Amino acid sequence: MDQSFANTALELTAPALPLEQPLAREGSDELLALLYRQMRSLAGPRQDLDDLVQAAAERALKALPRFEGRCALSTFTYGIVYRTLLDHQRWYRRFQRRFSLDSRDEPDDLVSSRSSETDLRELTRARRLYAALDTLPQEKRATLILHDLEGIEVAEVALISGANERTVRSRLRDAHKKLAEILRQDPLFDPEVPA
Amino acid sequence: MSAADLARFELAKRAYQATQPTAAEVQTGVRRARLARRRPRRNWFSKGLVLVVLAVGGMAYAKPHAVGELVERVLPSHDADSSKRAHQRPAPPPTPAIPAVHAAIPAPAPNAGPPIGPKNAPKPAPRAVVGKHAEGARLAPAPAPSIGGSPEAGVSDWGRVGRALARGDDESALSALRQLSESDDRSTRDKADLGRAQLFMAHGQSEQACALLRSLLNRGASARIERQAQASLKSCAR
Repeated sequence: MDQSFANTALELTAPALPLEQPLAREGSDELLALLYRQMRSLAGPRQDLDDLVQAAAERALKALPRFEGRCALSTFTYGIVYRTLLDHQRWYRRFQRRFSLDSRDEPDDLVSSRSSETDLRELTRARRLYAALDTLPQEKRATLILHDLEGIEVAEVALISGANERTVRSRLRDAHKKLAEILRQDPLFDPEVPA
Repeated sequence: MSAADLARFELAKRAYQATQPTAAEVQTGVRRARLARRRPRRNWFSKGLVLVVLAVGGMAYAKPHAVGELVERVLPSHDADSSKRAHQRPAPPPTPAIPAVHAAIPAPAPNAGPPIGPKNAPKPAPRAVVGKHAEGARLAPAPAPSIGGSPEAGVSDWGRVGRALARGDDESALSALRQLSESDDRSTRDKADLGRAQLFMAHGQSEQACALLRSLLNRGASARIERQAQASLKSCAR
């Protein structure tokens, strides 16, 4: 699926075909949807998600002609999303040293169309999970999300983050340790309490 | 990791998956990203604007009167342009070839005219014309400038001052300023006197300069001129 999509995307985003053409637009929409999902998973719900998706999309459309199909397109785009997010965080950290924007500090609230008690509990858990993930360093946070929550193999995570497999494992170990510490103190994540 | 920790992670994973974006949310995000991509980026405009603001701000900070001087420098040239245009009208009065005169004299920087005073006499004069003036040394009451009927006939009084300064002909500038200082308009008089004082000062004739500056302060010139006069008077006190 990935390979065929890669070919389609490559054909559609080639410079000869302007994106305004209907077919190209369809292809770029698929690519944007993929980038949106990936950015949403890595960055979590946040107010500047659209900006991040846009930045990643610009990078992806520039880089697509260089995509040689050696890995899945989703791995390739995940790599772009990962780097975009890290660059943004780095910039934002520098920005925060001088200025503070209160509205940005708070993540965009999670919404759910369902409203049963179980769903609300899941929603609260997710909020707490994101709050816990935010305490981890960016690289470790991304590694944990990619491997544990998205179910991506270590080798692929290494490709995405441009790191050694051992580094990825080490990051995972550290992230697990810290996250477990946080979750242990949260009664919502107590497995003894009935769901 | 203990089994309890694994169970906690399992709960966390479930919560994470329950809050994944729906297809509708993704579509909305895609639409917003697509709309943002269509917006033309005008980086050059903001960069240019920043550069202009920095340049003007820097100039205003380093030299507060620089902006005013720049405007004044532009305005005389505008006068000159309009007079040139006037000369090009169908029935112009017979005038000597202005371009030839200007071509013979290398264009100096407006404020870089070599001073005439004896203090500055040893400096090599860049132009033969100015060299003659340097020999004449003092800024004695200037001879009436032979401007009447000259190429500068159509130029305003301030234009004459500006042109003379641009040529480095400070005597003509002084005489033009003297004419202006007899004007009926008080503001023109004050400005002309301030100009004369500054020219005197530039040539080391501080007595005349200081006398003029004091008279300016005594007669109660406008605030801006008074400020400049006071600033110049500081060098008189030294």
